[in-house]
Amino acid sequence: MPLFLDLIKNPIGLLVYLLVFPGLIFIFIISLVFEWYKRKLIARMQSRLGPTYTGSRGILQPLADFIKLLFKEDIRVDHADHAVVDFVIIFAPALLIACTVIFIPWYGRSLYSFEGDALLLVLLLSLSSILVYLIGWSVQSPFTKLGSLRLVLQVAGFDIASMLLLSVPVLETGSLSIEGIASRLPGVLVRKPIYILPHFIAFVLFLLSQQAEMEEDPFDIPHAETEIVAGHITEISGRRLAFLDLFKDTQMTLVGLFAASLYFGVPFPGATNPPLWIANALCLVLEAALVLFILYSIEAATARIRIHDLLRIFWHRIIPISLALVSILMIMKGVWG
Amino acid sequence: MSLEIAGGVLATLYFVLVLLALYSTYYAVGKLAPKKTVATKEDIYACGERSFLPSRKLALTFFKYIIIFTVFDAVPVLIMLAVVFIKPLQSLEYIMLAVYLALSTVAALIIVRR
Repeated sequence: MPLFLDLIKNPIGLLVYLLVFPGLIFIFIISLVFEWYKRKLIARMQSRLGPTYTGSRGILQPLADFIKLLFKEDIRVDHADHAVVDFVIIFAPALLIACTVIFIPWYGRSLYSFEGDALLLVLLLSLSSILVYLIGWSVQSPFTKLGSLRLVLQVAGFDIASMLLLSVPVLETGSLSIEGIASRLPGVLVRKPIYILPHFIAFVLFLLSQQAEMEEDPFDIPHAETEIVAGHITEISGRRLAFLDLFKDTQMTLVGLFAASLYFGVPFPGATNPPLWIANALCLVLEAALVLFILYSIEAATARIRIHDLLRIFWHRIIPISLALVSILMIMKGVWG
Repeated sequence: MSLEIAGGVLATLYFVLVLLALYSTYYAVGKLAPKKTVATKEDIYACGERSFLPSRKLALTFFKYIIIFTVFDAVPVLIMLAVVFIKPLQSLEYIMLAVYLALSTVAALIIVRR
């Protein structure tokens, strides 16, 4: 039975789920915590201290930055379609926050789930990247135009790889829903350890494609500071930049949780009581932190590559390997079931 | 109301709620933020050069954008069709698949005609 039917009997419980945990407030807080974790971890890897001043060990720094940007002067440059920019700035983070609350199996079960929601989520993640492209394209500046063109090229690189690599847990578990994959995966890998190797390869490649999706090093080509200022977001400042930062943080959180659900699963599938719900949610957050640790480590350790190198890596390496992986897995599925 | 439709309605309502929360925050801080002080701040950044691109509105409707995105993202079509082989589809899923394929067909026709 879907989780929302359990919760709907208790309207306060449903409201708490939607607004507090794991709802809007929790997603906002965890996104800022992951942002702090990123800044601190990368700083340590680069022999710096990172944020130290605001809050214990600087944990409130992302919140302070967010509030500061919200109340800065709102500069709207000439020669820009501001309606499009405003639309994207609000629509994109709202889309990701809603998806994180609804489709991620926080309690071992998603609030609402259907066969195909994993696919929908990959599509919406790509859609959010292309929405951000509209920001750059709406401003008549050479830097924003170049940045947004690079962003679209980047989407053409990683999107198909993401889809193909999603097929690996789908084939292993026989489900296209995130909840189905997360709940069946641990059992499948324990019963059939032969799947562990292709699963691990798919996980590594999926992380690379998500790194490109988040535009982080070595794939931060759309906003290459040394070449095109800040690329597609060059003219964005004040509250718009605050919302764009919120978008990036929620995207990072969703990517971590989504990868954790697809490639690690939840320990207590189909849990029906609150202690097990909490255990599942805690486990999912820790798994997401592990995923983000790997992504941040890649970011700290690598330098930016060129756009044609990115396309070469994805089209000449990752996509063929992914296709081969899916084919091998289908053969294994045929032989071992 | 079937379970799927009820869940879909709840998900949509929640998205609208989040959208409204973000919009009201955006609007409220826009009222509180300081107004512009120097007119030249509205110039586009161009490394000290004068900006040279003419002003124009973005001529792209959201609908066109969605169908172009849909048709170029062809892999989901294949995977969605593969769902049929995983389990029998529910009525809402059939409708979604049909809408998706119809959009793709329209987009393909537009592109071919141009």
